[in-house]
Amino acid sequence: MAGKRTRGPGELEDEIMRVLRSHSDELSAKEIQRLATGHPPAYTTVMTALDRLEQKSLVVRVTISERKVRFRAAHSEDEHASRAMVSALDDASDRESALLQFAGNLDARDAELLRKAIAKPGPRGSG
Amino acid sequence: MWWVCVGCVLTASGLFFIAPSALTLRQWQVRLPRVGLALWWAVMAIGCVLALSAIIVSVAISLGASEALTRPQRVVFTIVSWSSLGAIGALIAWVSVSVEPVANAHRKTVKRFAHTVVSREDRGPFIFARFASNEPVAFAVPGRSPEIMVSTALESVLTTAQLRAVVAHEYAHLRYRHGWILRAAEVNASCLPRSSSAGQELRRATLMLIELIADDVAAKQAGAANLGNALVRLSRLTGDASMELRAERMMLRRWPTRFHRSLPEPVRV
Repeated sequence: MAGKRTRGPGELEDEIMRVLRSHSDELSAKEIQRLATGHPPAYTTVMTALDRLEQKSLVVRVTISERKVRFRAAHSEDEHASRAMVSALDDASDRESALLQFAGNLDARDAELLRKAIAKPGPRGSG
Repeated sequence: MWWVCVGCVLTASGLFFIAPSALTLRQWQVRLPRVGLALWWAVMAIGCVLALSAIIVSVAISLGASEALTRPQRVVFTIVSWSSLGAIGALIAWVSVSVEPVANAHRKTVKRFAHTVVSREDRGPFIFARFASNEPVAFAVPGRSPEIMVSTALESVLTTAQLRAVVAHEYAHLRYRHGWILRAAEVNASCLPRSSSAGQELRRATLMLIELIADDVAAKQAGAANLGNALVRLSRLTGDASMELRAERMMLRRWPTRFHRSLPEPVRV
């Protein structure tokens, strides 16, 4: 029978990324296991999550020796913040009501209409 | 009484098919976006009221089993009225299902940006949040705790006066409940059949007109020149030509001079 989940889907991966980003040095899986907050994850669970993160190009594996492997985040905190923002804007463009942006809400047809309206000012256009 | 019902249905259907072509975005709406948006939504509201009236009348007829009707007519009215009520129930369920993901999207957006926020300031009607980013962007997040979020890159490329114009634009979105209007347009578009352009056209018109309305409010409050310069600056940085056109649109009318402008206190960043 499957045990009770201690974290929601993706939460361990988020926690591992937080640990890696908060350290400039590379960390071993045991160190990540120790530094993770909340319910302590099993070593094998941490390794599985690290494998997944490596496949997603979020984590870089550094092989020191045959038995010694360490990990670091593929992107710095600043790079991650910038990527997270672009990603949020991409998501928002699918449902544009999510964001009332200062820019980017007008399409080519709207731009053409604006161009025509500006080119042919009406009676009040002299102002 | 049945002819009232038929009349309502015919008029509502007529509005449904004629409105998109009659009210399609035109140049006058670029000059008078507030009137354009009001007209769109007035037509929509009239259509809804007529459709609802038709249903109420048909239910009244079937319940009263009007003596003026023949038996087949009574059967038809009974079927039409009860199936219409069923359709309204399904529509309400669909709308509630459609609204929830959009509301969640607002919360998710704020959550996503939470870790990049460098400062948060309560300015009364909204929270003014600065977040670390290389992209010059600003946006409003409506909701119970509305926020205006501005990137550090935007702050660095604009002057204070230009930044105030951008915040005034976003504040106009919050103040005039543009988030709700846009949400209603999206729900409306999702409820109408894909073969009809009415829903998509209303959504597109709403999206464009609320931007122009917010521009007009910001120009009145913070100065058309400041808003125009901010738009041109961002247009050159991002390559978005529509922003330069919005700036040129500022020249289509007269705006209050500096001495007649009144910048709301929360916008004075």
